[in-house]
Amino acid sequence: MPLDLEKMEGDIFTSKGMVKAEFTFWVGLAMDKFYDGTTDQKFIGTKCSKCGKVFLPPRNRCGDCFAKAEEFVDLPGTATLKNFTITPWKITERRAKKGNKNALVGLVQVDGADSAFMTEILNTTEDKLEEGMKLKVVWAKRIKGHPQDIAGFEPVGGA
Amino acid sequence: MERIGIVGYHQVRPELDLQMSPYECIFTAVRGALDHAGLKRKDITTVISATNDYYDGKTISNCFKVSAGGAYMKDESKVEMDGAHAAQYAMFRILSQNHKLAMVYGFSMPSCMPFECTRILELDPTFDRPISLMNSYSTCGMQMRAYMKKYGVSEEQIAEATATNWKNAAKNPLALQEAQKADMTAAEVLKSDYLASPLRELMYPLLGDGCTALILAPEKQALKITDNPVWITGVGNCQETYYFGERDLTTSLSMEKASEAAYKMAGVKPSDIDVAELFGYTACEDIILAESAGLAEKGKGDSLVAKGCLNPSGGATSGMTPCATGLNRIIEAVKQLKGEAEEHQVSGVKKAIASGQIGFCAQNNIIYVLEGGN
Amino acid sequence: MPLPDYEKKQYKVTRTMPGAWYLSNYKYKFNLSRMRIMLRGFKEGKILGVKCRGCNHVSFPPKLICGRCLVMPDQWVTLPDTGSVATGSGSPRTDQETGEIVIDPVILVRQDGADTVWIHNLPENYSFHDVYIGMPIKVHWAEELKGLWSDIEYYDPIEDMGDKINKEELAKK
Repeated sequence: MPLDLEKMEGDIFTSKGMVKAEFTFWVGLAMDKFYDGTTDQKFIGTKCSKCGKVFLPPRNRCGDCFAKAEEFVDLPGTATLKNFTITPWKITERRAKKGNKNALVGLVQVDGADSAFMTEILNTTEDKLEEGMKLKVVWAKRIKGHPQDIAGFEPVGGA
Repeated sequence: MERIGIVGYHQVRPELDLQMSPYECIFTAVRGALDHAGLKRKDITTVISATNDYYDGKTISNCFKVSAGGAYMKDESKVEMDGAHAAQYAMFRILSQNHKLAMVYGFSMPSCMPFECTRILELDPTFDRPISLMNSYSTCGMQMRAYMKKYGVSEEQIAEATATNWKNAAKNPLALQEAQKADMTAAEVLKSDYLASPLRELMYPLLGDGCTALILAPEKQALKITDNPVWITGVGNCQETYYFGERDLTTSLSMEKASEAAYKMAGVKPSDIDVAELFGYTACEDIILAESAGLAEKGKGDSLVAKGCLNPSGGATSGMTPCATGLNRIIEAVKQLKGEAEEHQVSGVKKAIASGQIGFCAQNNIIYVLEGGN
Repeated sequence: MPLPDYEKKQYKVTRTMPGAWYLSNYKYKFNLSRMRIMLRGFKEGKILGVKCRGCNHVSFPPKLICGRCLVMPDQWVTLPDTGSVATGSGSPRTDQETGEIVIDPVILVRQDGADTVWIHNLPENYSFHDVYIGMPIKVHWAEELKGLWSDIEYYDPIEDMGDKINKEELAKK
């Protein structure tokens, strides 16, 4: 659409960007083993050779000691809730949208690991959430070696 | 350490949709800073810019801004973090004795980019990014919940501190116009919608387009340019781990270590500080950072806001420009020391601190100790 | 000395995760005040350049900020239609019918009186080998001037007037 400068008010013209720059990231040796584990529906973490801390999702090196963490350990499917929030916003690389329903987002630490990660809490309501409650993992219906294999965590012993 | 003097500054007042092109905006700030100090463009020896490729929508974001930033045929570099980090890089260049006068500017335009979506690009692409649950709102919400639970602070106390920030912004002539609400109350803050519980919509800052420029000079030259420059006597910089699940959110380890280094360099104690201008996204983060810098006991930080010595200009609530808010905090501290802050001046200020941050929940903090000016 | 044999090492290929930067969500702001005045000049068939009072530097197409003086230049000067080739290059392509390789010239033009250059074309099918640095050229206006960048269609090389001028001088004597 040609721009008519005589009709434009003010001096500022705003134009929109047009392309999408796509990348592909290698996940690395440690995360590759983690996704091999989720296809078999189990958690695999790594253990630091010096201080013994266990990381899930796994990493190659420990941040504190800078020693290698290449020993893979199997971890159970139960976890504890460390922190949580309730939010209607869903923000991805593409758009930020406020939905109608609230999502329960929690910071869960799998039993035996020393680090926590963010995931959704399912099959429960807002008022039942509290720190320290016990959870167990809910696997997705279609497993494909992707972070969304972990559909979420639900409280042990029903809602 | 040789003292570095701040001899000139200029801040373009932020607006929600600034009717200027990027080069015009930077030109206004840089020209304004030179006129404020009474210097010419030929006196500048190095220029450091703080702009971000992802916020500008083009790579090598400083290449077209060379003429507007006064860097034509001069030594120029870029820091892709907060403006306060660019000021530290300019300090290194001056202390190495390779350069004399440095111009620092920070710029971005949030009206032209989806800021929250762009922050997702900071995350790990193999696990955190595809899940898309970690964002600015949920991390601030979890930080507030952890702090409130550990020290027994209630939601009303944080809402009271937030309302004080909005009221202080009304006294600041360089605040975003929509952020100036002299009649904001804690009850009104608690009535707004949840962004990510317990964080409410009125607790999160408004984003504005703007640019800020600062001029730094070595000791001898600063005394020739102006009679009483403000001196930077100490600086500290520290970074925590990226992994959110391993961090203790009730305190800021990076601010503790950074402020320890800055106080030692300047030879001061936390009880000597009269005014603190800290950059925290929410009022709760302001309080956590102030407690970690040693200004109050843990859990009692909201008394600092009520006393008026923490963020008298309103802090980030007065209008946040990504990449420039750290420099805004330094300028507010300089105004307090010189006695030029009109309505929000705190009386009897001799030593002040100013900070900037980058990363989710203040992962990296940088803090300056400022003295002089009177 | 012979080089050692190249050993191809095997490396483990892991999974990949896609990611994207959606530039379609971004906007870009431009200040068109200088361009507006230049295009009004095109509508009247005039070439306008902007001059900085600090360094006397004339730029066509007009610039917003002068880097040397750190001011926004505001004095306008009218420039003549003629210019010269500052430098040029050629982009080769294969002719569809004959199969030969033809080089299309692309030139950087310096308008007479200006200190800056801009990129433009010569007439279609002009031979690349006849172009030289300093060649005098002239603006070829479009038939209808609408106040757009396309009002300057291309640049015509100025004909060699040597033999005509010589004949006129001889006829006078």
